[in-house]
Amino acid sequence: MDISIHVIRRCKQKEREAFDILLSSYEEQLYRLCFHYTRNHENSMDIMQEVFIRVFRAIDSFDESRPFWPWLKRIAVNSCLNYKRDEKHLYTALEDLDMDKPDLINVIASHHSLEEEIIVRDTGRIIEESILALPEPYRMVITLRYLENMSYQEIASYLDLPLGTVKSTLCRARNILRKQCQALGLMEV
Amino acid sequence: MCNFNKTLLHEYIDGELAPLEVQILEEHLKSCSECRKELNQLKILDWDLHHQDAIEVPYEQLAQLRKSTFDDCCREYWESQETSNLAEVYKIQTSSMLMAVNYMHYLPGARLIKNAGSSTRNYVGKRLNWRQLIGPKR
Ligand SMILES: [Zn+2]
Repeated sequence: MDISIHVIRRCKQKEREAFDILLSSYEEQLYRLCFHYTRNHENSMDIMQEVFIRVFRAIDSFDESRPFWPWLKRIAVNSCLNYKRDEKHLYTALEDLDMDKPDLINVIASHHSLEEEIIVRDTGRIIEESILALPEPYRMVITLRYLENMSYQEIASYLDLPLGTVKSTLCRARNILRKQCQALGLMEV
Repeated sequence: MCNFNKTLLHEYIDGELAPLEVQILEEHLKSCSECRKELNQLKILDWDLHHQDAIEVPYEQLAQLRKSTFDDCCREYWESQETSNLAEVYKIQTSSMLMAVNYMHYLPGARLIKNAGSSTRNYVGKRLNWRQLIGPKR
């Protein structure tokens, strides 16, 4: 499903209707990406607006010989990464932590009161919150791997990271999540 | 404590291992319960990550946001284009006035006036010798 060059040329001419044609078929996928990353509707809408504005400004530099969706997705990924999360957000402080420090897992685990978890036992929600607590680039790697089903190589090219870094990042992110689930007794095999 | 490279377990569930590496790993798993356990945990986590709650897409809101954002972008863009058009007109007018001024230098008579001016200046500016005033000595 790639958009016609004709529409893109009209967008380059800054023709108002052309942007509706161009974006309407992609905004669902874009929103999914933003929401998977932020897990928050308001933040996702903020990022979506940023994506629209960036598309408007950058469309001139779009190379028509290349597919449109990866270009657009890259804009969305960058907008997500640049998005400043609400200061009041519970997990913002975690961004300052170094992932290699062993106490991080404990900090993340402490966000869940054990009592509450025993009642809810909602693995999905725990994982969701744990992902939110992960700093960058762990969260985006998880989003690209699990929402977009990207290979290591694709993730590396999207985030401008070496292949080895993507590999170790995904590995560490999953280990954090795994150990946390284990601590909450959700990993009994 | 097994010191097998655990990264391979992750690459295995991501389908990023070469066939030979898969063979080596599967051979190791036969004899190592520690790696088997870790792999099983990773598989559960992987399944959970793949099956997170469905995302509800707010289609209407997105369409509204798109429309209002591009309305603004386009209005702003075309307004700035108008301003720069005005600037262009101003530039053209300025340059034609400058050309008109240059043309003044080529007006017939301009040189005459200029020369006349300078000769007058020469005449007035030249300090006359008193001898010239009273005539040659006899
Ligand atoms: Zn082992």
